[in-house]
Amino acid sequence: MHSTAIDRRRLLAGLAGAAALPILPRPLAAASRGPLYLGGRLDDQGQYRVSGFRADGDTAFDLQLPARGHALASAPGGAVAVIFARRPGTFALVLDLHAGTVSHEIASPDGRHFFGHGVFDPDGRLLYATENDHEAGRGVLGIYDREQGYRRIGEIPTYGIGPHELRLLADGTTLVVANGGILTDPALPRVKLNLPTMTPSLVYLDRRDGRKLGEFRLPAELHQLSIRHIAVGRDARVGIAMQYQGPAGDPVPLIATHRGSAEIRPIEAPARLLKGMKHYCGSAAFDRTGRILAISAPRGNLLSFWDAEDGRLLSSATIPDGCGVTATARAGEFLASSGQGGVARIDALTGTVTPIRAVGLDTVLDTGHWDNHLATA
Amino acid sequence: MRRLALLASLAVTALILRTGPAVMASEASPVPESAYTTVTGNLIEHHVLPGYRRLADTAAGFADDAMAYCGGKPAAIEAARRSFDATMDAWMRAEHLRFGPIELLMRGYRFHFWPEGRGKLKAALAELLEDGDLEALSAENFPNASIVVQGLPAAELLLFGDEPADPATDLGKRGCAVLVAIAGNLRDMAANVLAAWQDGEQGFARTMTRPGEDNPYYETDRDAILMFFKSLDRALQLIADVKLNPVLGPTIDRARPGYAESQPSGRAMANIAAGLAAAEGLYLGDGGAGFSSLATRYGNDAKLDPLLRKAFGVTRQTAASIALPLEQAVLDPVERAKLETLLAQVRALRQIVRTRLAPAIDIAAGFNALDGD
Repeated sequence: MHSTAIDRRRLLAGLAGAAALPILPRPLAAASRGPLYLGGRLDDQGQYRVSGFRADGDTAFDLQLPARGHALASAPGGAVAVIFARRPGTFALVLDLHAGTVSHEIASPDGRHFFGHGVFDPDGRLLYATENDHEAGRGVLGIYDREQGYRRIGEIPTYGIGPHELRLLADGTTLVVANGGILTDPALPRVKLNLPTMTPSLVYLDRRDGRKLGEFRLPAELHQLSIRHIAVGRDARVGIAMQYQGPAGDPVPLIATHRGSAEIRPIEAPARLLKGMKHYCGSAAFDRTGRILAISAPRGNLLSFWDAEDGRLLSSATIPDGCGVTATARAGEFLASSGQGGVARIDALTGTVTPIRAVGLDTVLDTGHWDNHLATA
Repeated sequence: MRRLALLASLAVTALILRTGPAVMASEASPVPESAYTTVTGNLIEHHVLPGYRRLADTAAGFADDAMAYCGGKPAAIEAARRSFDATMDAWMRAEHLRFGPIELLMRGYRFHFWPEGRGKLKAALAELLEDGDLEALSAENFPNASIVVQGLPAAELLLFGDEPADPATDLGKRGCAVLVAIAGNLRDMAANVLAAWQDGEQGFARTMTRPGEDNPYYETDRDAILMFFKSLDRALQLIADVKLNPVLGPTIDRARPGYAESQPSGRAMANIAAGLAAAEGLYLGDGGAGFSSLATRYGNDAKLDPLLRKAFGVTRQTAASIALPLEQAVLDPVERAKLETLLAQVRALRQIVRTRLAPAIDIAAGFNALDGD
């Protein structure tokens, strides 16, 4: 596979010359071929993109972004998704997945910027985005209405600093948001201003009125453990992937689950596996059944798979700089993307990694660098 | 401008030529682990320990001079300011090192917490000055005070700011008590950091040079040297993204002098020069073997070492050519143009370090092409 990839790159380089090869969106008469997968990436020419592909290796679209993207929110039905700018970005692009085009550009309003994640309501009408109210140094969710051309129709507070990932529970009304706890200022992009005093939280909100339904924190000695990425499994169980901002060598947990009104429950990982994660988990996803939790640790080149209900380790796999992870239509199976390029299927029960081969001349699957997140349309 | 264009075009070329291939399996290492061990050991001996020794010495001098001034010798303020300056300079040459003992007990933050966001320092310092409790300032209690008031920026405000520490006035006496507490605490922290690196069997120097499965920090020599590589990257990033770009703003009309570092003493440019010297020291090795020795011996990028040496030299020259304090320079058309050149050069340097040095010395795999979130 390796030499094939290189040959293809050489061929492309020869064909392309100075000009970029246009990649035309192709009609997606392909519903039978399984779901469409979406991710942001950086191509080998240094251009940020958002791309769609299928697990059979076919590229559906490969669109330019104005700057680096982060995560996607898929609307129910599979026709629409939104990619958010990486924090502290100011754009979100609505994608028409059938046409493979951008249908709307959303700009964050003055005094707010996007934090990189969002979620649609069950009708696909309202879009909720994590945002920073940087004057006040507090997190909010911006609410955008598809029926009004994605006009921003309001916001609700997240009751924390630095909200990052946002998910919706199966009840359709309860939002769960990871307040990472880290204070930033867009004038100092990505500089962390409060690491010594940060206090992350997991907050549940009623999306209809913004009411806070619950707020959960880690024990005080773990206050530098940033709750950044979450996924929702069956029975409203939340899987949590964390990043530690304290001293190297501290044996802190990096994965946890939460459900209902209980305390946040850290998952006890085997010491070697935990150390291998290098204090940094990048993504969380549940499989189709909602029971198996995948956690990526890109700095350790590690993915691990857990039974979220009893905290049991099922398997782990090595993917170089593997961060993006999303469920396939098969129980116990995920796709994972590499920051060094490439996507693979992983069987969570065995940890078996099967790289996906690109078909045709498309380069989405075997060049460039995938960004932090993958999504299933 | 020609130099700038040269550097920028080199960096772009570097990016195009060196962006990693799509692989799902890591390739064999062309650099033996023993070469990493040598450089790590050398950098500890020639870069880290001298840096922390300098910090410990200057902080001890500062504690003495603050005590002398506040003990009733108003004329000694100049000596206290000079030794503050020397301590700040020593910190700026060690600031990029964020692993090991400096990371424990939040020492790094306590030494110099900046940017601290929204005037938190002034508010916390005002509160401490109003509170008459002397117990809070004791050597035992002060390490538990708010982190923002423990560090060099708080001492700087008291020595150069609007509410100076002054042994001759009642309000100033309280400021003096705080200043003496800060300086004593900095002296102790710097001494503790140096000791923790050197402490024989338990010392962090030993931890770093003897990686292994039982080592709680580093499993391999590559893990250890990666800390230095990140420090090199961090030094350049701090200068470009925190110390220069936010102050420059997008245009001269939207410059933000209020975002400059070390405003009370006006030494923002000196901080930048010290940071550049530290980065260059890591690369060249400060008299021992640094990353340069790996770049010349391994990998297939023969032009890389001459390019980096030249780029460091040119960038330092540009920094030295700024004729005004940073807060004024960003508003001055002539000096601003030089600062914009400096910013482009530091960014080009960082680009070369990330996209050419990392693969040439085979540590790209541990150093993500895209930063996390």
